[in-house]
Amino acid sequence: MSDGVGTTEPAESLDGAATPLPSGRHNLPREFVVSSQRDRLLDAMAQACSENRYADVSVAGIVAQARVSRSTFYEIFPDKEACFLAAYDAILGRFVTEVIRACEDPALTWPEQIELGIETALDFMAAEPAFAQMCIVDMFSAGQLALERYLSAVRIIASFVDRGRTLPGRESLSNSIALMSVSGAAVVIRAEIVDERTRYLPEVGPDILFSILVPYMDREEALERSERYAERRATATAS
Amino acid sequence: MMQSHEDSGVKSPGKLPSGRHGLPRNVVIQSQRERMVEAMIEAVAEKGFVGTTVADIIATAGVSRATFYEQFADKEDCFVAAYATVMDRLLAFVSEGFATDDSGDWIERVRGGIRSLLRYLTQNPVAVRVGIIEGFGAGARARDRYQQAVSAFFPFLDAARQKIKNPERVPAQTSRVIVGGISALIFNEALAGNGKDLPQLLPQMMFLAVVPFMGYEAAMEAMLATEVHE
Repeated sequence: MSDGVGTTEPAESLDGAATPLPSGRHNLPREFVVSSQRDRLLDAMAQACSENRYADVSVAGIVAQARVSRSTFYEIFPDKEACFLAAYDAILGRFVTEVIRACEDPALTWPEQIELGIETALDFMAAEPAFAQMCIVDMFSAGQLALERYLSAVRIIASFVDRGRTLPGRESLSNSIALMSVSGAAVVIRAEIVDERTRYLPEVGPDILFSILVPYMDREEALERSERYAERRATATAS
Repeated sequence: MMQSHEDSGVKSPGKLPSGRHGLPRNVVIQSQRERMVEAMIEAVAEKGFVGTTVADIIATAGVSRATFYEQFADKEDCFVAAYATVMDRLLAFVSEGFATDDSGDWIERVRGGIRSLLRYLTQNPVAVRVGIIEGFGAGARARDRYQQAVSAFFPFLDAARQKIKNPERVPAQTSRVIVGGISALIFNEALAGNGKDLPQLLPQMMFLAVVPFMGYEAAMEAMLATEVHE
């Protein structure tokens, strides 16, 4: 999980990084199964952030959960924020990679790519509520560096949406339109998470699709695409 | 600026005379609360929520620590009150901008509302810092209040549904995307230190607000017809 795009490796020693997972039961989500002390710490941080406010997360709680010593923590990370940022980078990097990969299928048209990207992103977050909480909600309270990472992830996604300006008649649009609609979609997602509706996130996909597409294409076509997406989801859920 | 008034001997503005003054208790409580809320707004604008302490608040407001904890559970509780105060002022200003245009033309009214929003934020950088930037980060209760504040702007946008055919086809989350997108652009510009240039964002915001309800041509027309007043 530490090999995602944008991962920053700490300069500190990674002694003991090959330590195997503790045996026995653990409640870690599938995606966060880990193989090193560093990764266990990152995972414990993500878990802690899904249960508490970042401000209430303590290094003591993290090391207890990760079953590493406090001194090991400080060998790997200078402080709590560094651990948070490393966890954030690792998971966000994997998320962005997965979404962009889904979007970049050359066999699909741009609106189809956007739809698949939205669906992939929402499914990912619904399956990984700890990730969703951390990357969409907590980064606002975790300091300037975390915020900059969030904003740069939004910009990466917005630059993909901004390709809509290459569609006929849309070249005069401002690139801030994509930035606003992607940020607005993030506000919708954040509202669902804060309302503890993370696992229902895929339901807002058709609404988000409409808002993202409508600046760049005929309104009727954007409505139809959104409606077909909703029908497809309803059918998939019913069967 | 945050020095303790007890040490400096300077009374905070708006502080009631100390000692016996025969004012009713509820007046005193209300006055103290307002001073603490204003002190919180000022402190958060200056040093952010994380950097603000209860000691800052009580020093500026000229109240005792005991008084603070009589009225607020903790720092976040006081921040939520401060945040609500800022957002209520903002909303009142936007409502006024939305209502002053009585042509009945929804596009004109939305333009009036967003113009007022940008003007208010340009003239009140404190509102940007407290309402837009810090509102996200303070904690769960403040976040709930943020979502509530966002929802308060929906009726202005959803009024468009009365002007179009088949309004039920426009997805339910459309207004949240617009308000969220506008507040995010303000957030980005303010963070980049461009707080004074906010009024220049009005044309793009008009496009964003109009396009889902009325389509590209109407949105482009609304954008191009938008004059930027500094």
